[in-house]
Amino acid sequence: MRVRLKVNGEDRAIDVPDQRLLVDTVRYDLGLTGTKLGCGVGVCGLCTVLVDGKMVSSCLMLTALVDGATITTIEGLEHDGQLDPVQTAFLKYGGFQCGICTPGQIMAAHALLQENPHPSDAEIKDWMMGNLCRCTGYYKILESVQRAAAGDV
Amino acid sequence: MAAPTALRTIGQSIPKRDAYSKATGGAAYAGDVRFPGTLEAKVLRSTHAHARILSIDTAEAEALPGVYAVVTGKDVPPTRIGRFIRDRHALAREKVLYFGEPVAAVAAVNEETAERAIRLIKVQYEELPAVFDPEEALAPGAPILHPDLPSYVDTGRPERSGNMRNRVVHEVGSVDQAFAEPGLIIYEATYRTPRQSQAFTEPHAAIAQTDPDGKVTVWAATKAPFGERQSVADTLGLPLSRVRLISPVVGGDFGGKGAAFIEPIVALLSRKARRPVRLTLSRMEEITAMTSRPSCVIRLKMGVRPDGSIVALDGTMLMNVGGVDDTGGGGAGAANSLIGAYRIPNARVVATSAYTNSSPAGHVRAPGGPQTSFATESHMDSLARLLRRDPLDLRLQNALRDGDTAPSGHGILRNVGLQACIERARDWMASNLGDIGPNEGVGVALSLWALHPNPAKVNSSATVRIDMDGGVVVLTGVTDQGGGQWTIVRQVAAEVLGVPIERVSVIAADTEATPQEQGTGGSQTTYRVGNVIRQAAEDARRKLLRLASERLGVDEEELDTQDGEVFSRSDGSKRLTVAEIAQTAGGSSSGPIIGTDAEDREREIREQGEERTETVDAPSFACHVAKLSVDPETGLISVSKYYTSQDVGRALNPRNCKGQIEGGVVFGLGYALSEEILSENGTNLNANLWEYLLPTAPGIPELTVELVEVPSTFGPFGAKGVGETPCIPVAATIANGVEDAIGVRVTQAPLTPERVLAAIQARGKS
Repeated sequence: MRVRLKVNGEDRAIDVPDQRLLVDTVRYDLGLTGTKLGCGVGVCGLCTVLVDGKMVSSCLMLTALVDGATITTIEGLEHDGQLDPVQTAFLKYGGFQCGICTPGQIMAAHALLQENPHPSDAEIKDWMMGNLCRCTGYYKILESVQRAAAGDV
Repeated sequence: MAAPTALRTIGQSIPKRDAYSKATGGAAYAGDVRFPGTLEAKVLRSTHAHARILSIDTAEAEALPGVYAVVTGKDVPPTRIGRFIRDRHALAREKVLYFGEPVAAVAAVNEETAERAIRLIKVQYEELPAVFDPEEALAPGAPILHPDLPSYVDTGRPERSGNMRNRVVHEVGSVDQAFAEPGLIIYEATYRTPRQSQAFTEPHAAIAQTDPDGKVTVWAATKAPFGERQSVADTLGLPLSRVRLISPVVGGDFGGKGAAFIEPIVALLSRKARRPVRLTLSRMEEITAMTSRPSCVIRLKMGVRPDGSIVALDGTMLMNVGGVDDTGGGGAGAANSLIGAYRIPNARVVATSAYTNSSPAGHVRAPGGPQTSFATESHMDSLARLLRRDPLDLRLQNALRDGDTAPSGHGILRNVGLQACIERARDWMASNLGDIGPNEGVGVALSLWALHPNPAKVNSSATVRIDMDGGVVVLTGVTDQGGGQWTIVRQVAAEVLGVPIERVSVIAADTEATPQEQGTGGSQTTYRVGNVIRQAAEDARRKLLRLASERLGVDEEELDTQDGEVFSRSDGSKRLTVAEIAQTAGGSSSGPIIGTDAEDREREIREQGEERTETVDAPSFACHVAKLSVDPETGLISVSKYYTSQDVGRALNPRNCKGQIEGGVVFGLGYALSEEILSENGTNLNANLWEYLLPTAPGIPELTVELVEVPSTFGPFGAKGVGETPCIPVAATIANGVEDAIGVRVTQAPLTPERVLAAIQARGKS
């Protein structure tokens, strides 16, 4: 079927099979491989993207169901050469090691700060529960989000 | 070595070079690499734990439109492959030995077609009796998995027969005599530990391309491209030089990405299909059919005098290495680690590993460490309880000291930072633990990862080139799976050459472009690879100074380097930039500036001689403390505060060091509290991330990490290994805290609510 999307500010029309998952559309049909696939069942958060500004696990979403939506991926957070403050914070405070979960972590944190610009530490921890990381033990990720929220980037 | 007066790069928290690409989605992992015309692969896996393959009919699959290639065991030569013991084929040939073993594979235009084709392959099996328990596997009459085991090629020469993969007996002193000492207090217990998944967040992925002349290139998520090249070459029947392995950015490893499981399969498919072929495993395949930490049963007996000195230890370990073994024999390295961080004059450990029809065992962060530590460090607390001693005090009394023989029996321990770690932990406890409420408790444990690679046998090398503009290019075979290995490589080169870190780049982990390398792991990379980088950079520096000396008319000994310049120490006006020297080097009689590790490596081995080979100069010790509470109604453990002091020798990059330790502690918390692969008749039941429970952000405790720096003698700039030590003692630290909180001893990890409750109920009955 034909699906129309606004992806990172660009209008796109693509033909996809009815059963196509959004993660595959993003990675393969659109070639935006910054979005990763880790578990396929919506638990690990690697495939997190924004659909009309809301955080979504794209491995659980059919492309057909987001026809007409605005999709933001990690590649779309940068504006006019300026990184999103969350990206800057992850860079400055070392919020990653291997980096495979980083795009998902950053998308989740970005969504949190859109919804709640001044989250408490507990709110940050709870929100980030859906994004697994095996390398960092979460400490530097949480610090990065806290710093981004505090404008300390 | 020509030590700079003050270090400029070493000791700084230099950000990782690939940070920007990782934060913006630009970093290309193996699963992101794609070429025009790339086909997608799927693997057909065994539906039996033990069966003979009678026939495989691929006709229908091959006829499906969109299918380019189907391969089975018939496409694989009889030569077996494997990282340590060669006990398997890329695709099963006659028998399957575990549920999920690869039987066939398909390459098709897209994943959906490949998946459909897989279902059209008909395999006829004759089911064979299976065995899942290692004790039963070793009993007479058990079905034998590998009848030809004695003829297999292995890196070691362990005792092996029947289903016994290996047996290691490690003995010092006179154990039986020591236990007979009158008045000795003897304590005995059995401990059980689970199978743990590496659970790297990036599943295995690989893409293979075959040139028209038959040469094969594979981009793979691996930490050991040189080792995997061998397996691919053996499977394809090609010489090593006709196979190229490249490891791009790797999304976590934790021991699990060093063996070729999928790489030979995509290579076979690509050769047959004459197109690029790629494969990414699902999480279910990862936990069902890939390697995990072997489960272990440990029986441990210790004898201690009333004054607290431990004089005897007797232990057995039994490990389940599954249908094929990627642990290097499970017990070999682990046997002596049962002695822990203690000086015990009489010790005997018999470590046995057995083949069963379970999924394969492999390396997981600190192979052998968490299992043995769970037993030994739990046991230490039980001894302290019997003696009515403070647990940390008893540990300090028996702790290994400088000059002791290492528990492995190979080498004298030097630069021991254990006492300093314990003292720091004590200080922290005195002022940070706060009040201990009801059902709250404190646990402690020690950790040791003793590193002593024999420099003459180090399989690492490096080349350092100085480019025409003064930029430095380091060629190394080492991968970076997130630990910051490439950052350390750059820091060491920048420091030795006196150039800004920004001018140093790395070309890495490509079997055709970079020097040979055994692979990232064992907490050895900074120490082992750091040294060869240092040696190669020294070589380049000598060549640089020789050229500068000719141009400036100043003796080489007079010259130094800093901030990308070479200058005379006595006359600061005599100076040249590295770029000015490098520009003309290419056309000079000496040629461009290229350094290798060969000269310094040979000289250092000669000069350091026996002192080096007979010394464990970089032992990594740590002391862990946990404050936790246990809900007696649910058995749920909540860890509120965690502390670790760890001797890192010298922190070349403090932020990376702390990051490794933080991640290691939480890795250990998963093993302590929730991570366990459950299986029934060889089928892993929780092969997904909603039932295999990893730590998540809300559950992590407040963590304090203190770096202790007791420099190593021979590591680069005094560095020791960092990454394994922090995950080793966590399960015991938690179990000790639970006993302190509610007075019950849990001897099986992970300490799930069910097990804690069962222990509470068992106490109620007794």
